[in-house]
Amino acid sequence: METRDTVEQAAAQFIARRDIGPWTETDAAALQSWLAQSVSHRAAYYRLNAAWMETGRLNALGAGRMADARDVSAETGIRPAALIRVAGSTTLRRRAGWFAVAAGTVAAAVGTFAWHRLMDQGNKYTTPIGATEAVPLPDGSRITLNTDSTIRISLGQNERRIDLDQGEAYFDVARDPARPFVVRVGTRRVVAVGTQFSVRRDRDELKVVVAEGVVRFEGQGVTSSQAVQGAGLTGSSRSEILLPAGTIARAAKDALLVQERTLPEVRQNLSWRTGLLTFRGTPLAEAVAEFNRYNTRKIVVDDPRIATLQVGGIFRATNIEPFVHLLEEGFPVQASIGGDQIVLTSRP
Amino acid sequence: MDATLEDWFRREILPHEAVLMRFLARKWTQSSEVQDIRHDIYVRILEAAENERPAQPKAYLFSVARHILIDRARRNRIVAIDLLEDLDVLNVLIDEATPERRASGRQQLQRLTTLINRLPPRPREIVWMRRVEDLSQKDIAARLGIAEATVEKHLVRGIRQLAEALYGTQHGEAGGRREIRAEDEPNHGD
Repeated sequence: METRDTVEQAAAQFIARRDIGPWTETDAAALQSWLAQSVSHRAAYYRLNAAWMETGRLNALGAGRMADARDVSAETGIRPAALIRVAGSTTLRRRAGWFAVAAGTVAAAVGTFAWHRLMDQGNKYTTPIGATEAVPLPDGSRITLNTDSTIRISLGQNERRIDLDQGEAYFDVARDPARPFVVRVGTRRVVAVGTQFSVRRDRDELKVVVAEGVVRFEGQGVTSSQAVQGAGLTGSSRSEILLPAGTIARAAKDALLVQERTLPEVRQNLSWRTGLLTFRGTPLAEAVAEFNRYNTRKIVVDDPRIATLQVGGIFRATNIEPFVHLLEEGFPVQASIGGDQIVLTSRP
Repeated sequence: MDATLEDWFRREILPHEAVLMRFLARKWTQSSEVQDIRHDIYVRILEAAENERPAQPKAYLFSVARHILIDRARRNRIVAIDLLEDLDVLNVLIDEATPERRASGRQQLQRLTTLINRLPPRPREIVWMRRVEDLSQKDIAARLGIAEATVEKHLVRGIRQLAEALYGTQHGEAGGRREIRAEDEPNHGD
């Protein structure tokens, strides 16, 4: 009499072998006859096969973005005007076709070896304060770079790698299973095959917002069991975690916080792509910090009494005046506008 | 094989496994035997369903469960009074909503990723590489620096653990409605 464990092991082996192949007619026949042998075999197989089929839906549900449910990713209408490309010592202002142009020019000049070297070194893109820019990639992916941000792009044969050196970027990744799309932020990595997400870096802190599909987050941040709250993770040696659409994950030092959010909240976190900042019950100090990312003229909150006022609304990120004006109208706040800064204090 | 029977089993029986496992854990003190009992129940269910599908699968599942427990208790010469009571069975039948059916695509996605996140590292990586990246056994082996046979071994493990996570008690709940919240207890879900 076979034990349940033996039977389940055998069933799982059939399923695994069929999945990774090669799976010949002989194998298929072997499975059929094994199933015909006993109800016990069938019970184990049905159950395990159901579980395995369940994970097959990962792709259909958007992990590889096969369905086109792009409600979060509607066209952003960003104008690629002020993008500064830094490759070696040259500074170019251009948008689409950079790959072809760069590759073509360089290849013509110094041959393919140099072209490879250029790619290996990574192409660097930087946005000035206040600008959001679209960076289309030759593989069909699209990166939207937020204000004051720097990325380096390196498209290799086995991996599409983006280093986020500073700031924030949104990634709309074209599906290519052979070349995972890897966003590196220091020692942490966010890996996708075809999906949409944003990554924001504030020095060593990291925020990942997943708009569609699934991404894999890797980094030492996942090792802290007490920080991986709610995700049901308590293991101590974890180095990675899957984040599905609707997730906002924040990593700082060795802690990771994973939160599930509603679609409007996710959208709100991505509204910068249309040049807008969305606040909802946001403390004034936080809202001001957001504005300051986009503007060279900084707002300073010079009074702890007003720092915690809650602000709501949608504002154009580069347009400080209406924001400050509304603050003065709606709150006991007084603004003194200086040369390159606006100081907010409590109004007596 | 009988593909429709497999479908039926997946649709009507497996979604109740979490509730079934909790029921068994309450009724049977030998926790090491609970998985075997679960398997015996499924065998009995399939034997019956091959002839005729029960009209009320969930009720039938729990009545089979009860009979199997009583049989076992008899064989082990255990006198377990509460096994003979119908009351708990009735409670089980009314206390759980049918899991999963109404979950949206996004909820299902969240649920699936939560499940996969619970696998041990190697099986988890390999399930991801197979299911999302669609890598071959060879590529997975190369990327992880392990033998191809080892890939299969981990995948076998992953498939078995997925079933536990998906249907069994590991999940700790029947449906996919669990929200991940920042304020959850750190060890919640174990």
